Amino acid sequence: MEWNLSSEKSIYLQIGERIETEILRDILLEEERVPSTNELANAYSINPATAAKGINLLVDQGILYKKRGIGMFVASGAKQQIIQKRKGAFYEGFILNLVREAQSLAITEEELVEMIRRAKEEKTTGEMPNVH
Amino acid sequence: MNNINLSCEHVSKDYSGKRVLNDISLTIEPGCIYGLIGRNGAGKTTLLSILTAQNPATLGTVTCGGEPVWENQSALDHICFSRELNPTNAYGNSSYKVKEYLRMASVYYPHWDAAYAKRLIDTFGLDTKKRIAKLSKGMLSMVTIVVALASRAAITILDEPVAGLDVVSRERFYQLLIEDYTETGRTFIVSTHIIEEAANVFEKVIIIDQGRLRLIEDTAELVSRFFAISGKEEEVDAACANLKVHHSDIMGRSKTAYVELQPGDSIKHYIDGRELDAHGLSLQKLFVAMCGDETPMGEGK
Amino acid sequence: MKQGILRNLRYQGRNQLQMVGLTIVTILLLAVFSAFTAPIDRIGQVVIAGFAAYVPTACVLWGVTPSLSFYTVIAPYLLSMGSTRKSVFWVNQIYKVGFALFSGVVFYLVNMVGGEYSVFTGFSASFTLFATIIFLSSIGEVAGALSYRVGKWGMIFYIAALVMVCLVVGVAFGLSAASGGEMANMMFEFADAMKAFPITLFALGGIVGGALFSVACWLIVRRVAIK
Repeated sequence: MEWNLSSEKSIYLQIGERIETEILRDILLEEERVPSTNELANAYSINPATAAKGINLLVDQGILYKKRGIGMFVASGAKQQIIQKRKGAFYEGFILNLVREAQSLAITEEELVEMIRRAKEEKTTGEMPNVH
Repeated sequence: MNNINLSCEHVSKDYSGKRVLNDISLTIEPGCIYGLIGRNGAGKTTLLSILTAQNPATLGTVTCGGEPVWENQSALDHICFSRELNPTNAYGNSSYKVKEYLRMASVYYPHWDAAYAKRLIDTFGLDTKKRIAKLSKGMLSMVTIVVALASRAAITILDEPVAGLDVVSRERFYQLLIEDYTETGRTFIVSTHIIEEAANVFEKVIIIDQGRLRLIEDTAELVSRFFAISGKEEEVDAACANLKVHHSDIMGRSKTAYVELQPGDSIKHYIDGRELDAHGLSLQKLFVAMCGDETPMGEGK
Repeated sequence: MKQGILRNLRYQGRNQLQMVGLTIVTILLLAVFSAFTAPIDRIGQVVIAGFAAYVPTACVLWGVTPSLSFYTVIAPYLLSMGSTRKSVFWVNQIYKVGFALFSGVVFYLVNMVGGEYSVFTGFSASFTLFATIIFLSSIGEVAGALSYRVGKWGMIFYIAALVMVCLVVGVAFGLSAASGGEMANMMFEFADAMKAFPITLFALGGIVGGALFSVACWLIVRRVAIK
């Protein structure tokens, strides 16, 4: 994950993704307090309203919840939910595009499966650079 | 203290017969960081001077908390407009030492926070015994920043505060600004040329172009309305038929159009089913698309 | 409004106090200097008589010169820090009169203490100094304000006009005065002439003139923009 907030993508989405990734990697644990809006704003030099928008996005999805007067906490089951959500996004963002591109190059289904298998092997033997 | 708004109605300004500001009406709402952007000579400093009664408007009125600002001490007490210091200016006392300038600020700003000023001076490593005329551009910017932040005014205005600063100091400035803002929630208006790195700091942006107000809008909403659509020329033209196109580039058969959507509209309506790419524009790019075309390159002044 | 006046009283007051200090130091330095150059047996007499020149010189120097730069140097900063034009202007007027008053009183006291050696005694000389400082400072303020608002050519034109007026008045006055008398006795003759001349009326004219210049100054400053 890139640690500098890039400007092309809405900052509040990036803030949401950042927190999700930290939950996935067990940097933030379930039922633990997440940084406040102001803490996030100060850490990344962004407007607190933007940081709040990112957090509210996760609250709406039930990944975070609010404890009155204390702050925002990671909901139990949040990690599982994020995995589900990212799987969905993976299908939408990668698989659909993959299939579309394969069709325009007239790659057959068998070829495609074979390519995926090969890519997996190459990655495990360490030839592909580890992105992410 | 933090529920005061500053607004102007139908403000115009003429300089020797030339209209430099044209019928500007806007309201600065409390507890918000505004970015004021515009090209050189667009009228940024003139607008800020008129909002703070440092320059009389030719037409129109400015009010702060409902009261007229002009020659009204109780309204002016809510405002700090920390102007750019210019050591080569024939007017203004550049033989002042920094600490004399700060002492003046401490007398004239009713909410002056001397301890905070001291901390800021230490952060920037400013030598307050130096004379203003002897300061580098960066140090001049720092002095204006110290005055603005330590004034603790409900509405604080900075004109090109980062112009002379290097990257490190610029980042530090935005950190300090956010830090103070999260603590106090006061209103800031910051004008700048260096848009990209400030985009995340501004909750709202004001764009002025050739003396006119182009827009005043929530930054995130504004950014979400602008796209670059590229593809085959006919396809792009068909997609943009009902869109506001600010600028377009043509290269061979391909065309890129920089378009603006109406609030609430979705880019999908226009590109779905066509072989087109659409990607969002950053604040800087949308500003260039919006204001870059109309005047020749160079200084407008 | 009240707060604005108080802030200006505080800040401009500090500057004005510095001028008072400089004036006193200048008078003392001039006195010490003349004591060194005077013949031993007449030190007291020379020094006391000299006050007739030291006090007006120092007072005009530190009372009038700063008025030239007030609206070009100090006032823009005060206005940019949110002070109103009204309070900046009025407090400046207050201190102008205050400094003139200080000059008059010092002159009166010095002349009184000096007794028989003093060149000028009584009310009219001090009142004249008071009026002169008001008159000259007001002229200076207009020069500064013009130079800020209109630019240096505005000020040059204004000063040229003033010089012309002074030249005409001075030549006329000089011609009538130069009909007799030696340079050495000029001061005493001037003092003698003053007794016959309605000097208080003359000084009152200066104050009225100063007030007119101040009105002009306000008209210039009233809607001034910060550069």
